[in-house]
Amino acid sequence: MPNVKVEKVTKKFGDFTALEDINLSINDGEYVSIIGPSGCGKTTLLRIIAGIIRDYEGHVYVNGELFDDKPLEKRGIGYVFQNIALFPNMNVGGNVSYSPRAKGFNSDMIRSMTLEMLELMKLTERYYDYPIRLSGGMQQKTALARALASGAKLLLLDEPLSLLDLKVRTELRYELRRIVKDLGLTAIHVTHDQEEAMAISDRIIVMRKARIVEEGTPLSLYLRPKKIFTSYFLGESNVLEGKVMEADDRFLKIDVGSIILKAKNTGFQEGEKVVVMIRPEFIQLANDGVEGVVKKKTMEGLFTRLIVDIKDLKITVKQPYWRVHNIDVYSMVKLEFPEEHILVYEYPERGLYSEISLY
Amino acid sequence: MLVTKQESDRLKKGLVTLLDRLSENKTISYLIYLASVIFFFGIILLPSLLGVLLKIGVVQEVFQNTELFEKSISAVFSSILLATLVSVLDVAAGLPLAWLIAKKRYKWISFIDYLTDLPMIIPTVILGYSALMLWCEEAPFSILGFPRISPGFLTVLLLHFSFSYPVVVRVLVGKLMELDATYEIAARVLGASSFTTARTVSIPMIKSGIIASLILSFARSLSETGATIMVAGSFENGPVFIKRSIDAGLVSPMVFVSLMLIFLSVLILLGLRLFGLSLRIPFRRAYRIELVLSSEKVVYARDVLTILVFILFIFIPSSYIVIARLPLVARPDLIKQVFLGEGIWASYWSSVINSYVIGLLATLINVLFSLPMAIIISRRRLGRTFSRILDALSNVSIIMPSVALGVSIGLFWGSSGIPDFFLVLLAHLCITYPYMVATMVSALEDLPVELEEAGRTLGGTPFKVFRSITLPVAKYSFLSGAILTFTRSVNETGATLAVSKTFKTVSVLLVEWVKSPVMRVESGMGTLILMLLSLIFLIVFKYIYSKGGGMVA
Repeated sequence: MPNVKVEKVTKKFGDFTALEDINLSINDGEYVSIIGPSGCGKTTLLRIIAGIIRDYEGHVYVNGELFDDKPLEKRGIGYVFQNIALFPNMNVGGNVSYSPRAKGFNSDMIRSMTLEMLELMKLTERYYDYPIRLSGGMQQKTALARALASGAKLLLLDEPLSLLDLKVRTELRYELRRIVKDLGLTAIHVTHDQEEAMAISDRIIVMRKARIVEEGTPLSLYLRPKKIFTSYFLGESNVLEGKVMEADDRFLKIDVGSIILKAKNTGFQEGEKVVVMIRPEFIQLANDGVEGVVKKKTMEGLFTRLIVDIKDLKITVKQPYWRVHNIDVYSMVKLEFPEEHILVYEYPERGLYSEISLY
Repeated sequence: MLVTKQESDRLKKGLVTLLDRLSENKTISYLIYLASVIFFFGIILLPSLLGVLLKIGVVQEVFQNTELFEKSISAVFSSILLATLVSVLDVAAGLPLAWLIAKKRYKWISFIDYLTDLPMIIPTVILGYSALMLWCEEAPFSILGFPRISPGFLTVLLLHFSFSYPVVVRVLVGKLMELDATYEIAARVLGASSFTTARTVSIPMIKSGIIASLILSFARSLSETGATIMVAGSFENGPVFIKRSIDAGLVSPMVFVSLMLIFLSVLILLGLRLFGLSLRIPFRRAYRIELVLSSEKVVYARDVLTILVFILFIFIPSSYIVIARLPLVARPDLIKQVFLGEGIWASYWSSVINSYVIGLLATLINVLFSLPMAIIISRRRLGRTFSRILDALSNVSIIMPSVALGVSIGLFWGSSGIPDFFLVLLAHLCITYPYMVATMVSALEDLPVELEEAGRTLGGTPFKVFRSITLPVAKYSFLSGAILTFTRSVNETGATLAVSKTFKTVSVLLVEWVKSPVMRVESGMGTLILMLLSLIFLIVFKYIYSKGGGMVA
C-alpha cells in the first residue's frame, strides 16, 4: 500500500528551472490531482516520481523507501501517458499482458492478470484488435488496463484524458476514480483541466512556475482559496482591485471603483489596498442591488454568461439559463454581491498581473 | 557582366512565381509527370537492359555448353549466398552502432558518425585495393594474431561487409531518430529491462528500416564488380564471372547471369517486402538472460565490441591505403607539387573537377526527374498496379552487376557519336537513379497526405505546397538521397570505364595509379586528398542545407 513523499525536489534544464523546492506528501489510497498551466512543471514532477527523469536534487520516497537510485523498471509503478503510447506492433491482449511478460512471470499468471484487467475495463472482446482499430477512448482504456496489469499499486496519470473528446473524457473520468478506489490504489493525476481535477480528486495540488501554490480538497479550493492565483485559475473569478474604506470587527467596505462592496473582515485595516475576487456564479440578480447594463449575453449550455457594465466596471455573471432567458442585451439589471462569497486578499507586492499570469 | 544580389533575388522570385503559376495548369503538371516517366524508360531502364536483351539470343551458348552452364549457375548462387550473408552481417553489426549514434550515449559518438561515411566516399575499387593490402599483402593485424588471408571468399565477404555498412547505418540511424521515445519509456515503466525493450518494442517498430537496409546492402553486394575482382582470388560470383568471361571474349555468360540475377533478386526483394513486414519476433515472456544482457557491464562490453568491429572491419580496411602510406606521403616537396598541380598532378586535379562536375550534374538531373517519379510511385498517381511495377523496375540498375550495366549502356549509346563526357554522365545517371527514388518514395510514404491537402485548401498551388510543405518535412531523406547519389557517382569506376576509355574521373584515374607498382606514393596521396575533399564537401553540404534549407528556401 503506497504512500509517496517528495522532499525538496529541484530540477533544472539548463537555465530553465522546471521544479523549485517541491515538498509533497501523498497518502495511501488517496486520489490526488496536480493542476497548473502548461509549463508549470507538473509533468516533470510526475516523471521524477516514475524514475523517467533521474538527475534532480532532493529525494523521492515510496512507502518510506528511498527511490532516487531505483531503476524505473523496478519501481512497480503504473504510468499512463498523454499520447497513450500503446505498442502499435501488438494487439490489445499483447499490450495488456506486456508487463507480466516483461517481468518473466509464468504463463498462468500472465493469463490471469491480463484477463482480469481486460474484464475490469470491459475489453475482453477486443483482445485481438490492434490499437489502430480502436477509438481514442478504447485506446486509453487499454493503456490503463496495461498499466494496471503490471500489478502496480501506485498509478501515475499524465494528462490521460486530454486528447479524448469531451463526451468520452467525462465518462472515463468517473471510471478512473471508480477503479482506483475499488482496487485500493494511490493515484497521482496531472491535468490542466480544472473541472476534471475537481470532479475526480480527493485533493488538488495547484502548481505555477515550478512551485506549488496551494493544496486542498476540491471544495475548499473552490470556496475558500488562500491564494489569488488559485481563485483565478481554478474555476472563474471576477478579479477587482480595491481599497478598504471602512473596517470594523466583522465587516469591510471596499471601494472597487464604481461600486462599494461589503465583505467579511479577515484582518484588514482601513485604507489598505486589496484584491477582491468573486465567482460569477455567486453574483445574483435581485430587485434591489447595484444597477448595470447587460453588454453581452452568451449561452453556454447549462449556464448563461452575462457581461454587465456598472459604469466603468465590467462584471461577469453566470446564471442558469431559465433565470435569465428573458433578459436582453442592453437591458438594465440589478446585481447583488453576497458578502460570504466575496474573497479579499492583500494586494500583492509585485502587482496583480504578475500574481495571476500563467507563465 | 556581374549580377547583383538584388537582381538575382528578383530573378529567383520571378522563377518561383512562374513555376507556381505553371503548376496550377493541369496539362503542364501532366507533362512534368510524362517527362519523368519518359526519362525513366528512355535514359535509365532501356539503356540498362537493352544491351543485355538485344543479345538474348546468345544465351543458347550457355545452355549448349555444360561447363559454362554449371559455372554460370554456381556464380549466380555464390552471388546470392554472398549478398545474403553480407546483408545479414551488415545489419547485425550496423544496428548496434546506429543505436549508439541515435541515442547519443557518448559525446564523441558524432565523430564516429562522420567516419562511418568513409567507405561511401572512397572509390570502391580503392577500397578493394586497401582491403587487399590489409588482409592479404601486408597483413599488419598478424601482430594481433589475425592470420594473413589469401584472396578468396573470405576477403570478398570482408570487403562487401565494409562497403555496404555505411548505407545500413545511415538508414537505421534515421529510423531510430524518428522513433517516438515514449514507447521505450512505456515499456521500461512496465518493468521491461533495456534488452527486453529493444527486442519487443524498438526493433519491431523500425522493421521497415531494417528491411530497407537489408535490400540496399543485398543489392550493392550483388552488383559490385571492380573491387570484388581485386580480392576474389579463385572465388567467382556473378559479376566476377561476367567480367572474366568478357575479358576472355565471351558475352553469353553476361546475358545469362545478369538476367538470372535480376530475376532471382527481384523475387527475393519482393518476398522480403511482402513477408518481411508480417514477420514477428515472438514474445512469450522475458527470460533471465535478458536481465544479464541489460546490465551495465554487458551493455558497456557491447558498445566496446561495436566500436571495435567498426574500427577493425570498416574504418581501417577503408583507410589502410592512406594510413600505410602516410609516412611516404608527408613530404613537403610532394605536397608542394600536388598543390601547384605539377606533372601528373595536373591530370589529377582535372579528373577531380571531372568527377565533381559529373557528380553534381547527375545529382541535379536525378533530383529533377526522380522527384515527380517518387510522387507518382508514393501517391499512386498512375494507378496502383502501374505504380508498383514502376517501383520494382526503378531498382533494376542497382541490382544488375555493374559491369553488365556498363556494357549494356556502352552498347546502347556507343555508336551514337555522343561525346564521352555525356556518355559518362548518362551511365552515372543510370547507376545513381534508384538511390534518389527509393529514399524519396519511403519519405513521401511516411508523410501524411493530410499535410499536403491542408496546404492545398489554404490556397497553395501544387508546386508551392511541394516546395514549402512536402520538401521541408522530408528534408532528412532528401539530403541522404542527394548524398548517396553524389558519393556513388564520385566513387563509380566499372561502368565509367565501360563507356569511355578517354574521359577520366578521379576514381578511374586513381584505380590506374593504384594498379601501377611505381606509383605507390602518388596513389596514397591521391586517395588521401580525395577523402579529405569529400569529407569537406559533405560537411559543407550538410551545413548549407541546415542553414538555408537548401533549394527549398
